[in-house]
Amino acid sequence: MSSEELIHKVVDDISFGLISPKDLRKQSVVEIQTPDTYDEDGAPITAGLMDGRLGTLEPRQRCKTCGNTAIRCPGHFGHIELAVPIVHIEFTKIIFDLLKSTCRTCGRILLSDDTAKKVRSRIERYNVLLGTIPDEVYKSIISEIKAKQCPHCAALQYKITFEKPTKFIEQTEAGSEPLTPSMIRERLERISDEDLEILGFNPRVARPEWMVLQVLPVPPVYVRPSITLESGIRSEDDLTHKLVDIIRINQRLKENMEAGAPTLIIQDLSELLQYHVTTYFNNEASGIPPARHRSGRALKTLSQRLKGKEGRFRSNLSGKRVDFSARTVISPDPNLDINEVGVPQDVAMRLSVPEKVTMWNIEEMKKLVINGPENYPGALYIIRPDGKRIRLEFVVDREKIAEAIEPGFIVERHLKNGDIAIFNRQPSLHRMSIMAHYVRVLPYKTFRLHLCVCPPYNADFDGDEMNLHVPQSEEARTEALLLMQVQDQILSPRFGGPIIGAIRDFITGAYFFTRRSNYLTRDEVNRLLTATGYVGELPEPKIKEPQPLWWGKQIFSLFLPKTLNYVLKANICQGCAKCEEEACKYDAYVVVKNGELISGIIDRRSIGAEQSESLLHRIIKDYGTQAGREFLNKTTRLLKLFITMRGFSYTYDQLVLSPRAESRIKKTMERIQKKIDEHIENYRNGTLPRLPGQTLEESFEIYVMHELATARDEAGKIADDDFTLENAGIVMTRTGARGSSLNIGQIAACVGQQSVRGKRILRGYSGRALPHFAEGDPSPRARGFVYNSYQTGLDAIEFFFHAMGGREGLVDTAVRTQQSGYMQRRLINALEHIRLEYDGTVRNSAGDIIQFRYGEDGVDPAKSDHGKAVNVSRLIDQIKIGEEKGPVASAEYIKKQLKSVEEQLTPILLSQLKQTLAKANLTKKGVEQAIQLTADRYKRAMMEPGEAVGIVAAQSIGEPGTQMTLRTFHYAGVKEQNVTLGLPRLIEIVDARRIPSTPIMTIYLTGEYKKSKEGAVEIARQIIYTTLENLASAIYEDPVNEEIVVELSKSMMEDRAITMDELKDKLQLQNATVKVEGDTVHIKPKKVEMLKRMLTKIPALHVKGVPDIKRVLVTEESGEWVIRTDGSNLSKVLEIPGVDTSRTTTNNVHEIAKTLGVEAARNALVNEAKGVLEDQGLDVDVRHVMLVADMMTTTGEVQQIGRHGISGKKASVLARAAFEITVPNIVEAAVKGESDPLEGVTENVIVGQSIPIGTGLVELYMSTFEKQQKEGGKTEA
Amino acid sequence: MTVETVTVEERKAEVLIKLRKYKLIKKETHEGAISYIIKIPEDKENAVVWCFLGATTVGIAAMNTLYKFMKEHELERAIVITEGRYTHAVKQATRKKNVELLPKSFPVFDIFEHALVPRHEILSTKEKDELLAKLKVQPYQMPQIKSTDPAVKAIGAKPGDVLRIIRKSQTAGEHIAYRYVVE
Repeated sequence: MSSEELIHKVVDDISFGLISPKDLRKQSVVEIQTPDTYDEDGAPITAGLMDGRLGTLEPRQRCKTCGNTAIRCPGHFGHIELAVPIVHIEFTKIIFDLLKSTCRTCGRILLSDDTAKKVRSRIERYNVLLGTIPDEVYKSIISEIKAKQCPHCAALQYKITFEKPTKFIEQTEAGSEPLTPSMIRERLERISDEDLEILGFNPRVARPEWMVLQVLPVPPVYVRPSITLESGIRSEDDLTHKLVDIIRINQRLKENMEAGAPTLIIQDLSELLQYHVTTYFNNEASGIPPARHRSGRALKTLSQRLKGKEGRFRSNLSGKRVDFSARTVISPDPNLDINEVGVPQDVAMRLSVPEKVTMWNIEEMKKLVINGPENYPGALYIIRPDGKRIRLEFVVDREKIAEAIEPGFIVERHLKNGDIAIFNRQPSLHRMSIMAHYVRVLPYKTFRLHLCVCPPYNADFDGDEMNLHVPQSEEARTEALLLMQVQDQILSPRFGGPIIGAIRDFITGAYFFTRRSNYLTRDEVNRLLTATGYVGELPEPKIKEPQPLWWGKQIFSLFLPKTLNYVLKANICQGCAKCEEEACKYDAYVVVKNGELISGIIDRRSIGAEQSESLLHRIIKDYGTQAGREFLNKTTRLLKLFITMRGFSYTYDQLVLSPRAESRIKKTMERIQKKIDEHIENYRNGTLPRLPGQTLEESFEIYVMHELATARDEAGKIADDDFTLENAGIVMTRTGARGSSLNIGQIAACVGQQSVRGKRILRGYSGRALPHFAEGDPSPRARGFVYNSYQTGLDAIEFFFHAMGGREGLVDTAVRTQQSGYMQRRLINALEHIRLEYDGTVRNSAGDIIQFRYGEDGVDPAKSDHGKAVNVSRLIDQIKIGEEKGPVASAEYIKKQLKSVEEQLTPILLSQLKQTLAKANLTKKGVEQAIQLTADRYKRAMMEPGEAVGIVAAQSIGEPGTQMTLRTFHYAGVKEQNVTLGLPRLIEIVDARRIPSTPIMTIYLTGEYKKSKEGAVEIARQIIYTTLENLASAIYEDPVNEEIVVELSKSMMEDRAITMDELKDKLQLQNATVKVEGDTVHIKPKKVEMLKRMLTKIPALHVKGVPDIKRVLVTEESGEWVIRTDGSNLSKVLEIPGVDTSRTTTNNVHEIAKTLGVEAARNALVNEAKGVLEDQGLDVDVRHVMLVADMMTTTGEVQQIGRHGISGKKASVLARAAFEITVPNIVEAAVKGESDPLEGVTENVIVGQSIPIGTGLVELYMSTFEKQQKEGGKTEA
Repeated sequence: MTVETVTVEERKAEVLIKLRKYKLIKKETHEGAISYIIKIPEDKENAVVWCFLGATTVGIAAMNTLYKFMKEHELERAIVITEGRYTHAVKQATRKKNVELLPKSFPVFDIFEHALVPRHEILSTKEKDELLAKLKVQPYQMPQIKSTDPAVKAIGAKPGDVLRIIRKSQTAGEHIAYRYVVE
């Protein structure tokens, strides 16, 4: 970049408005009159569409307007004088609103002066109360205008209808009369500025008559470049084609008008011109056929250029292409450091780093220049102090040029070892998808990375490609180094634990290495330690005679910090009823004492990735990220070498079960088969007990599936037990290296039920899945149960079913990635501009407060200890170990000390400190130290000002979305109850759907009712919605007596606890007489015609219960009886006596908002979302969920995360346009005369400025006045 | 809740009096209505909570009985409770008077006893000004709460008030948030 371009300007604001025809003509450099582009010589025709005054495309030609060459000419607009006014398609809705709400003769608003005054004061009131005027206010004003007569000039008003795309029709007494664009324009001209303000217009920048075009701007040629094909034929841009059409028709229309042609022709031509102008703006407008190219392809016109994923906003403005980047396949290299990336030499020779020549590096730089671009450590360019750039490729005598180099020159040299580079793998779902690595130039053609960084990138080596970017400025490099380095990203902000750690063979290796039986000879120890780069003494050998032998545990201990003390249970822990601790027979009790691994096997729980509270986690938390990096580097190198030396493989033999296990599986299968046969028998006889709310067949399926699931599980268990830890598969599953015991079961014992849509397979032929079975055959085999294991092999039928199930799995994954991707996009868009301010509040870009303290305690989840601000108990344990003996501090003293830090700590930390200190018996000094350290650590765990907390939250919730199941249904608590869980439910929550797909209530009871089933049932009967239909065995019409007969069922009435009297009370109908005779009810309508209609209504007659409660289930949960319902109606249920009004809830957040308020809804949102994530086994910090919930409830209502909620209400026009509904957003902004303050993220990305978040927020302010008074708004540090 | 309270209206009235910390002075039974004369802590004058029992609609005629009562007892302020709906005319008429129409959806129980509902308190003008100065914001830049929100109705806050919300927090134990009451 040359020095003259260094003038730095900042875009403060972008204002939107309409352009007036006057301004348009003034700006125009040429009136386009001919529809032609070039003449025979290929020169642009004057006054044609490619007129030279519009700018030039040819590289060496000069622009006829500004005299610049192609690169420097900004392009100039021309114009077309339209023969008749034309309605602009994007403004039709607004024009329609204006026509409806203003007088057709005098142009005044159709509100009396009084009402107008009131409306004005209403607008003003909103402005004072809310600071802005919500769109809804203007909408309601427009909808309120309904005058038949103008209150100002008394002219009668007629109804105006709008027909898509551009037709307005007025219903006068004389019949319907179309309004021509010129009539519309006249009417719009008459509207006064004051009236427009009431309607939400800003008449200073947007007069409504400008929405009807008289002049059409013609964009410069840069906007619509023509391309020359290989054959030499010029091909014009779609816009040019469209403009040609417009000019052609416009000229014809002009000629016809001048010649005084009949109105019919004029009208036809006007309509045609309207069509062309409409499609020029938007070729996808509804009610209009899209204009097509000769080939039949629809033209891509202005609107299409802007909107959508491939549109200007999302494709070119929000995302930009970059230089200094590379992409290639990745492959593993365990010999690298975790923060290194292996860069192929070919790549290193094309990417460059600008390095300033100084007196210290001048010699080196000269060498690089001499080497030039083709010899490896070389250089590509030299930039002289005057800004001139020399491409070394074209320099003949590089020696000579090297001599000329002096300090102050910049050499763009090849990438070399130790340079910093940014490494990325898409999809970039969280911030750990982009990390800074040190470059290591290596031979061959792939990028190489350490295996431990696979989890954050979610990378494997089946052909994955990754991108590498080289920061070019000193600032960029510094930021990358300080913020993005791999070791600083080990702890994930999602859950406050390490996301980087050992995987796969490292874990298997660790298991074998730290087994008690692993003894190593001196040679082996030497070899292993050399590989890790260990320098130091060897420990005392475990066995000294006949030859010295070391334990693996001893060698592993060499890499543990010397002061580390920790105890945990390994992955291989079998969860015995009574833990034997250090004497564990599986050696699963890991004890580290003073940096010495005393007992226990190291596996996934200790050093694995995504394991919180592991050994690795402790090392990083207590000894820092650098120690964590060293630990990972050394141990992985050690373990890699060890497992290479030892060897590890899994053979077919290890899949074969022992005969004993075989026969046990066979017996299990027989036993289950018998049970299923019983079910089949019962099902055929109809004696199968029906599950509530299910049909007989559904119940049968549920029973059978349940049995088959147990069959598979038991078989799997038998197989799993049959193998010992000598079996490679078992080693991998137990240690957590790879696979699960389910996989082992499927491989060795039984593959189990194949399902499609969560059900047994029953599709294809009628009543059967394949023609090999009898119709309606309910046996396991016929409906997709696979008895065989992968080891024995599937038979043809099983294989077919397996393929069906497998295919569903594939489809599922594809759908899921899409859904979770869109959810994440919405989350990011809604939260991107949320940051932490210096005063500790969380605010959006406009300065509106979202949270008064981030996450309610201000703690950064990434710096937290698995969500906890300070791990108090561990801290005190550590102090206790290191403490000298002395008198124990009194409870008084502890209390006094705690009091002094009360202000600095959260209530939760205070109470934890109090409890642990009371038990710990520390000395006074120890207590002081504990309290001081807690306060210090809490302070250090705080989120830093400027942090993009919104983006972090969005990523933390969005990223695990991909891992969630799409299987909608899941049994929660009660077997019979289906609840939507997983991704669909999470989407439902952030969507703020009015009604969830499975509304459910959990009703707690008070007093006696919760103690017995009978009590609970009593309440449940009052709650379940009961209609006449639920009580009658039959309802039919008696045509002879002209009445409806309802035959009541005694048992059904008893079931619902409804007496005859109660029913009679409810049967008081207004328009019918009701007679009750024993068990039958006769309903005779007063009018015979009513009979048919009544028959459809009578079954739904409400007798008892709460509306919307479809089903109730009474269950016992932790010692009390609760009612679970299908369907939800919180307000009504809470009114029923006996219902506990302090705990009863629903999963419908809107209902909670309505009956208990927004604050309750916020809490419900947190609980629901957290519940879904936990159910899926995903570890997400609550603070992220809280931020989303707070964001959704800031307005006092539950708002959606998406275009109808948060994203649609953003302050920035550009941010809204870039998200969804691009064009209407810009149109609205223009009409309102909005301006974009450019305070958010997307907006600044679009204009190419640094974003006001994180390091981009830091600015230097200088006060130039004695006293500055600022009215609220921004907080500046 | 006491055992004698029979009707839903009475239960609501009692909940209301409890939540808004009114002092009950006298309870009277009238034809189709019950009145509670109360003392509102901040107000000098007494006020009345008027329950229309079992009414399906509350029209001007019904309201006139209330007005009469208010005149007799020289009361300026009233709160109306009903299980029915208010006619449009009543809503219009009460807009200017110091009569608050409690919506039908007002709960019959103390919502603050519910586990999901944190405590809400109205800030005094002084507290409010201090808070706004400390945060350097306009009131509307804070999180908002609708004046129709059940919690707002329960404590009787009005648009323009700022509420202090004392949340139980999973991370901090206790957390104080604020919301600005809007229409």
